[in-house]
Amino acid sequence: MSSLNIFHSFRKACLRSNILIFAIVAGLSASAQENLNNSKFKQLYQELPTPNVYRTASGAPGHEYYQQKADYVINVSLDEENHIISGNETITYTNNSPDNLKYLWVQLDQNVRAKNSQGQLSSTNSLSNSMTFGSVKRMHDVANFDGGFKLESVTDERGGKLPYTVNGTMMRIDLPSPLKSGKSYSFKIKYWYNINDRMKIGGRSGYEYFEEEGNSIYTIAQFFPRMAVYNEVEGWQNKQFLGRGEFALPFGDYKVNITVPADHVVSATGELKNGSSVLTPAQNKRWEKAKQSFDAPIEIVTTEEAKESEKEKSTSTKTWSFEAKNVRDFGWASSRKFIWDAMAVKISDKTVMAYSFYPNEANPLWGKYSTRVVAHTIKTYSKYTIDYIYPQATSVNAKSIGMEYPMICFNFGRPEKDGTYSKRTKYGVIGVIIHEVGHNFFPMIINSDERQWTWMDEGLNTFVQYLTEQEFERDYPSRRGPAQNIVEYMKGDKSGISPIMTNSESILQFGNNAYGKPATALNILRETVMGRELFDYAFKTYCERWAFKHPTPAYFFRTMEDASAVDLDWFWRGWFYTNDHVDISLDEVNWYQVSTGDPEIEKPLAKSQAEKNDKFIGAERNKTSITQTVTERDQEAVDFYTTYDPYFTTVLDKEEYAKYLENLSDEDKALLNAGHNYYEMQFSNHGGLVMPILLEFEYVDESKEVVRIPAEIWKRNDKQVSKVFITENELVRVTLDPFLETADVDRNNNYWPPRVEPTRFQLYKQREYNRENLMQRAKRAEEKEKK
Amino acid sequence: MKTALLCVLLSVFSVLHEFHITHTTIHYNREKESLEITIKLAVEDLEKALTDQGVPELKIGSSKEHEKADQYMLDYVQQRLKIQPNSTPTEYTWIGKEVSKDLHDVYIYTEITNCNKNSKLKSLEVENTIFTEIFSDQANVVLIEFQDAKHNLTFTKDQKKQSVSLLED
Repeated sequence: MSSLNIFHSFRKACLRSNILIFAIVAGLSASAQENLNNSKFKQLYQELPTPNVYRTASGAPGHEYYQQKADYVINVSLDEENHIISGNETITYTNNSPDNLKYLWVQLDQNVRAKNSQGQLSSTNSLSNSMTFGSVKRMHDVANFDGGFKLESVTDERGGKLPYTVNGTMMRIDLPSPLKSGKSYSFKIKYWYNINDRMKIGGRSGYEYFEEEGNSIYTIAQFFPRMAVYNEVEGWQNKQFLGRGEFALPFGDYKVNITVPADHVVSATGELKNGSSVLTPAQNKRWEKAKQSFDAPIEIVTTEEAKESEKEKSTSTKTWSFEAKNVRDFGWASSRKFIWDAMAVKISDKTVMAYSFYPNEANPLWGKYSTRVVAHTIKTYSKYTIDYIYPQATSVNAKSIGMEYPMICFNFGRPEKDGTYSKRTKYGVIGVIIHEVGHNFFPMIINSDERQWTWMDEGLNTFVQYLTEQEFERDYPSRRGPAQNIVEYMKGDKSGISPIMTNSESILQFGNNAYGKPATALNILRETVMGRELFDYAFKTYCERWAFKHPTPAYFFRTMEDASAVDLDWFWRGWFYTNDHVDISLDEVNWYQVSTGDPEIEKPLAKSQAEKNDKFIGAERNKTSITQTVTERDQEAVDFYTTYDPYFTTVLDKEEYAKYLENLSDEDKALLNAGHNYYEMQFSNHGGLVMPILLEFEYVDESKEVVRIPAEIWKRNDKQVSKVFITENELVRVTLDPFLETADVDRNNNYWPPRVEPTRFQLYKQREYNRENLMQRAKRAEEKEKK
Repeated sequence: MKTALLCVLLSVFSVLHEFHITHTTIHYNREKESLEITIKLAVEDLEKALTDQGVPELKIGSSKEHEKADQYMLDYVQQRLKIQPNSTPTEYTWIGKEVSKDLHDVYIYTEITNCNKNSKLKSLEVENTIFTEIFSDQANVVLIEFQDAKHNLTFTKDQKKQSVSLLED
């Protein structure tokens, strides 16, 4: 709605009060009607934990911050024929907490695949009449698989049995005497388990079987009992692994010896320590060469070598030895199908290696992109977070998953059998590699608790993934990041969504909730709320503060404010603690101009305005239907008031105007003559989320101006606000959120004059209907060329 | 107990792709008295659902797309997304499809024409079981925009059918 008013007797005093109005939000606080503080700007004292000596109000670790350490020596071997992993490990656990620990909790993640595991029993399912054979078969495969750790022994260092209790995916080891603060304890576990066929029953790790040749690609993780985290936030983080909420793990040093068939190539977390004995001299030489190759990957295990290995199966074994320092986990991959290529990357003054392992089936796509993308990812993430500190980063090709471990990740994507690939496959591969390699930073280094909060690693990682994709290629077809991509989710049925601050297992719409929305929120903070400079510094500060530590949400929220001087409590509250969406409308634009005070101008204007306002249908019809009124017929019925015209300019009016002008200061006269336009605009908040008001003004002379008003405009009334804008030029059009920055779900109320946006359907129909599709068109062109 | 065991179906864990969600918008076009239906599906999920039914790989949106891809897609959505104005089973017509900018999804456009003759459209019954046969955690969101009213619905394996009254109070 728009209306045009001519502002009468616009005198000095009046102008002053109007200037005041510029800063004051119209209307009274809606929350004043209630007895509680429900302001969208209410500070987050009740939601955030009380700061303490371990974690400070600034968002940084406190002066008594501590964390536990878990060092591992693991010997593990792969039985390829039976798909079995067997291992023995020595865990040395160091208690840096101020508490004495009576028992230790160890995670047995493989048990999620044990028959009747809590994870399986608590996942809901139903049957339907129209189930496919495939899904029925999967149900059988899952139910029949004999998964889970088979524990052979749990002993102290000298072989004495330790009492232990297994509860699902957690095992409590009762210590002979409490582990005192500052002390270490070593113990041993011997175990084995059946490896799952990923293609049949799924899983983050497992094997992919290539039926024609009888070979497999093993992507192995959660393959050893792992220490749980103990700290002052959760005590022992021994919440069961149900399948969704991923992992919480302490840092430590690893020595891992992996015994596999002699013709396998192994890739793992950490550094290969016995390359000279497991690789051929030629391969070692190529590896050395790759360490100097900063421009292009070099094959260490070549395509030809991999093709050769595939043909037969060795009956002997080899042991590959790896070491990794200060990591929270360990993963590895093994296959005789692997090609291994590598290139060097400079991170500050350090050289880091980028590696890829993939079967010939992944080429030509992987040879061209994988290692290059790994290199680009660690470089770009290092810029926005902290320098990548590990010696290498690896991408392993694994069908249909994307899964991350320190220094190594398993990524999907292969071309067609004929070597061609679709655009979707190409960008799928690049996207998943950036994402999974990016996980080295969140949560492998900035080690949040995934069992509790999925968004802290997935959301932050997806955000930096977006930045990295955009630096890979201009207009890279990113999926998550731009505000408009989250609109569909946020305007959806509220009963089907949950706030970001929801425990991992209870999240509805996992991808949108924990990846898309937080990544979008951070983009909005960076581009719209804080600006790039303030945001980037604060985000980097968070990464520096919590690298190789265990952050929780509050310390991310607090650091972002602490390092930028931007109060973001309203933003965290709205975007992270509620399901509200953004829908701001531009309701009204009222146009005022300063009254000249000149009666010869103002009175006729006022007259025409009054006539406009008085118009109604009866009066219009009476003009003709009443041929003569009493006063028209009878002169005696006429007096002063009959003919008096209040809009007639008299000598007195003119004199008063002259006097008025005389009394005006030069400043006032300048204002009077400036001919400014005053626009009062009214906005409503329909979605609940308060956001900055971003406006584009288009003027009669076709010039444009963008006005950005911070979200604090809503601080006293989050339902409705108005604001006055002074312009020299007359406005012809106003657009709210012109650059699609705020994820406003309804843009039909974002325009003045009002305008209805065509739907996606309507746009498509206008463009494409009754036209041949692009492929038909291409075919036709081809045929024409042949002729 | 036997059923409980049988019904265990773990979704494939994977970090980028365990988002089993579709979005459908049913928009009433006042001038044409038609329902304009936009269905957004993950290409990967759609291919999986179709191959499970024995349909050849369609390679949707690629230069090697199956020549009958549109027909297979229409058949699938027709079978899994039923829209019944005034509880009357109604077929819809194919308008077209396009792959999203991020290459992840395909938008399918279909239409039900002339469904509000003499303002007779009183209710809309929607049955949405898209992908519930392959993913136990599938959620299907449907937004109905009729005149000025908006109705937001979520469908799951356990909530297959919902009805919306379009009469103004």
